[in-house]
Amino acid sequence: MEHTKHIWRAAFLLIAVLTFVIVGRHFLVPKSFGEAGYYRYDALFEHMDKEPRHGAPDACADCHDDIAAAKAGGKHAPVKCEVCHDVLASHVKDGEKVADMRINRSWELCAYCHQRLVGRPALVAQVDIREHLELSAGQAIPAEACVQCHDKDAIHHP
Amino acid sequence: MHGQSLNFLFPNDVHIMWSLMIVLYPYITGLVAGAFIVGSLYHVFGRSELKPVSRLAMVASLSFLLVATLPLLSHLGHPERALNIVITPHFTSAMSAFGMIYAAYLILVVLEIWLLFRSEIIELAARSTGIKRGLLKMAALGVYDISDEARRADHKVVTVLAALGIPAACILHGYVGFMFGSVKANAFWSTPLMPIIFLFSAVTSGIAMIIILYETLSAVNGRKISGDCLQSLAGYLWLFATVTVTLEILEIVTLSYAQDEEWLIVGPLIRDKIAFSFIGIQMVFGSLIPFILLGIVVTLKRYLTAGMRNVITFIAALILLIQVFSMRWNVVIGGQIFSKSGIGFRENYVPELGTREGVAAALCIFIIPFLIMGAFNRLLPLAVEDGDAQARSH
Ligand code: HEC
Ligand code: HEC
Ligand code: HEC
Ligand code: HEC
Repeated sequence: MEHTKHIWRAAFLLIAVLTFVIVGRHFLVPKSFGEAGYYRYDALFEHMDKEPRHGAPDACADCHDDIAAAKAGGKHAPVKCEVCHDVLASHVKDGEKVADMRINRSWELCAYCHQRLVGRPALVAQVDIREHLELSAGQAIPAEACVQCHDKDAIHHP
Repeated sequence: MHGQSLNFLFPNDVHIMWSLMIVLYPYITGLVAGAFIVGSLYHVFGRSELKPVSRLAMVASLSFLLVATLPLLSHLGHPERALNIVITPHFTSAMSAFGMIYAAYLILVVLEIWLLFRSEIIELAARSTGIKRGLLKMAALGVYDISDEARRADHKVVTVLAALGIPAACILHGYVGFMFGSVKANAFWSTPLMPIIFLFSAVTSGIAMIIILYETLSAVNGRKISGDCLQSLAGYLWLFATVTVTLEILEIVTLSYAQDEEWLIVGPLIRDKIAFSFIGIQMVFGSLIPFILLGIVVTLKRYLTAGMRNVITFIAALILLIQVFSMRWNVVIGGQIFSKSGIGFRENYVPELGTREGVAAALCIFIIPFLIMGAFNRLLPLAVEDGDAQARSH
């Protein structure tokens, strides 16, 4: 036992470190953590205080009833306006238009959903972009390729 | 943004999300566990011929352990949130269990290395001056007892720690395989064999890494390589590599023979998509060639000169390191190449060069352990003195 002083010191040091960690952890756990589950309960209220950015599914119809009606009868009916444009809050505040809404004419927007992929279910119409545009090899895809033929009425009511 | 709203619309498993970093992560933890097992062969199982690499193995294990989490941090981003997993651990989360295993293992390895190098720390403190002396004295915890009794006590504790370390190292690495094995939706991963394959290939890579480090260290220090030690390492490497490859082949053969629905996608995956990295690198180049080379070293040792043996073993070890890396690659990337729906394949994955998860970042992370070992070696030599070791061991 006489020659094990260093081992006892190491053991003591280890216990001190562990105690420090356990005590330190106690102070680092965020307030209200675990009050209603394995998360910080206050986070809920911080979220509730935030202004909603997205509108309800028919939020655009209040002012764009023509487009909304057209869309409702077409194949894009399940696709919300905000998916292709932008969130309601970027355009309308307190029932007034405050800024221009984004109009996304890029082919990437359509490709997101219509590019042919093996993993994509057949119930969504898919095209091989380059084939559909009849591009020759090496030719780049024009930025606003799709809206040249699928115009806004066709897009809102395909 | 439209991107966020799409997820509910389509099964969007089009991209390969787990990048090169997720390949590197099990590779590095494998080296941690493997190196530790080599050290334990000496410290616990009394393979005294492995004495020359006993310290090297422990320090290598620690060095890789210190960077083991970096690939994850780089992959996930937000490294400042990393500690949340420790501060509010959830006990049903495998990831937070990993945090605890990692911490326990780290303590264990640090303690063990401290005991192994205690005498050197004290001797070095006596020889140095100024701040260095103060730091070294602190590292010795203010006890300068290097009597035979004290060393015997050290040795006992080291043996116990190393014995505890074996299950810890196995869990640390088996967990990685467990993570993949428990991804049920993936036909290539979800087999209970996964943790075992990961474990064996970890030991393979660990032994191979120790062989390379040992030969390099000996060359740098101008020391003679111990023939017994290298011969024994080559034997272990041969054994573990053979078992690993057998398991890897068995897994595929089972899948193929059972001809269940997953073979419809796994078959073409191996034939067309990862033929080069799986059949070419992992099986033929990475397994067959080292098997032959090490077979020569093990069975024909009487006909080989020491120099030839060292070179052949070195080459075999290097190839096996590549083999294990390609195994990680094939599991992580290969397993993601087909869609979870099993209908077809996803887009190809080519790692970027300069991004956070690119090749350059991976190389930087992988180099750090070697820098740590180099720095360690300058302060406290990793090579074991023969006479000195006599006193230490019994
Ligand atoms: C599938 C994507 C998509 C959806 C869904 C969509 N839009 Fe559009 N919208 C577009 C594109 C693309 C344009 C630009 C067309 C062009 O300029 O050729 C556009 C143009 C517009 C314009 C400008 C028309 C003009 O005269 O210049 C308005 C207004 C508009 N959309 C409103 C809506 C509303 C309201 C909804 C929901 C009821 C909606 N959009 C849904 C893609 C979409
Ligand atoms: C409070 C009424 C109101 C609501 C709600 C509203 N808009 Fe508008 N929006 C307008 C007005 C006013 C204009 C300009 C009218 C015009 O020039 O024809 C406009 C114009 C647009 C334009 C053309 C570009 C521009 O900003 O001038 C787009 C695109 C558009 N809205 C999309 C939407 C979408 C998508 C929604 C739902 C998320 C929406 N709007 C909801 C009032 C509204
Ligand atoms: C958020 C996903 C989404 C985006 C973005 C999108 N679409 Fe669609 N589209 C659909 C869905 C869902 C349908 C209905 C299912 C179907 O018939 O393919 C559809 C249907 C269509 C159709 C009718 C297909 C048919 O069966 O005849 C056309 C044409 C079309 N979209 C063109 C476009 C164009 C052009 C764009 C780009 C401006 C676009 N879509 C953007 C989801 C999307
Ligand atoms: C040169 C004109 C033209 C351009 C440019 C064009 N389309 Fe079309 N697209 C058509 C026509 C015409 C049809 C309908 C033909 C048909 O039903 O086969 C069509 C049909 C579609 C359909 C429905 C296919 C189906 O199987 O029902 C989709 C989806 C579509 N287009 C997407 C796109 C996308 C995405 C782009 C941009 C990359 C694009 N289109 C660009 C002319 C065009």
